[in-house]
Amino acid sequence: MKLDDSELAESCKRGDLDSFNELVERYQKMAYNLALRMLGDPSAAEDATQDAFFSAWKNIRGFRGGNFRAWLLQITANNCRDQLRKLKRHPSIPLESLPFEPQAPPSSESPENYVLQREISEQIKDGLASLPSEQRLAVILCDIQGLSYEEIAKVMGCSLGTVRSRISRGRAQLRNYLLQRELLPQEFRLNK
Amino acid sequence: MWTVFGRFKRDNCSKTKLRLSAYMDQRLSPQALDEVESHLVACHSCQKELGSLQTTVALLHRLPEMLPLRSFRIAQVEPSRRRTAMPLLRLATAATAVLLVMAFTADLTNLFATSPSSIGQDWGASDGRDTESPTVENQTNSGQITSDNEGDLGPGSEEHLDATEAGWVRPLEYSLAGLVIILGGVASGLWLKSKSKGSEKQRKT
Repeated sequence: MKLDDSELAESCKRGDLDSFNELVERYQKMAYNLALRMLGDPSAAEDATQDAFFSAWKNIRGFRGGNFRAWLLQITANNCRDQLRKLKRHPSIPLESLPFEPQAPPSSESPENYVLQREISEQIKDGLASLPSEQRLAVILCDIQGLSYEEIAKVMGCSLGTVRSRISRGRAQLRNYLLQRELLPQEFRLNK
Repeated sequence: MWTVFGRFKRDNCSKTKLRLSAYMDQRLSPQALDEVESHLVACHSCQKELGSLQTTVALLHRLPEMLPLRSFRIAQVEPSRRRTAMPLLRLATAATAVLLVMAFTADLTNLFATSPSSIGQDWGASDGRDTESPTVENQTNSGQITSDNEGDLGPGSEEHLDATEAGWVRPLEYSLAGLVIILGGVASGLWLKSKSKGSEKQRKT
């Protein structure tokens, strides 16, 4: 029988590492994708994700029930903020120039479509990187990860009103970025 | 008249544009929803704005999920079986600290005070100075004895000056304090090092 998150978290509190690893299996893709979209670098994203799981395991007793996914993503987001602060202090490679790992096209997709999709993905990634970090986090959680506003407020530790305004401003800024690069259809170019 | 109408429309547009994102996510109150919908029916510019935002969000939804190249499972780290000097070091630090506290307490309660007769003997034996009368520096103009040099007094001085601290007490206290600091520092350093090593090891596994 498959246990739900709260039951597994309770087992973790009693020191059951297998239960924790079950939760890792459930959420590692989500946490990694959040870190990857926030940091733009696969290896930094791996480090941030691993640190997030490690610190979640260490502090599992601090989890007071409720939404485990939001709690874990909050830790991941905090790790990403730390990494971004470090990058700001010691800049090495700009976020925009880091490519994601190439992945083979799915068999159902034509190579042309795959190339086009990849190009759009790269542009969106650059557009996301151009957003202020809190707006980027809100947009990623809402439009890529599909979290509700309530969950996003928990992850970001702010009010629903702040979440709404960050998502709104982030989307508008990303839309302007894509419009400038002519990635949106002609009819949406407002000045033409 | 037309200017006022135009400004009203512009205000309505900017208000609606700020609400479009929440409108898409169905996060507006019923009243705000009504206002936005009735404005959208009449305003071509806001319709375009909504369309562009919807396309942007659709592009974000279509982003592929990236797969991590490895698993992030946590491995149990076996406790190290190698013997370390840590327990011994902790014990030594604790013992020295206890000795230091005992020395301080004894010093405060005058347990280390030497008797006047032994002062006289020590005195005579050590520097051979005249024990009969205090030196000039020991006396103030009014004839009172300074407290700094109480140890130089010979027998027959006032009652409260009978208890005199032995010369080896301070060096003992300082040595013990120094030892506690050094041992404590080494023990803390080793503990921090082993802790960071342990977490690094667990992180890698």
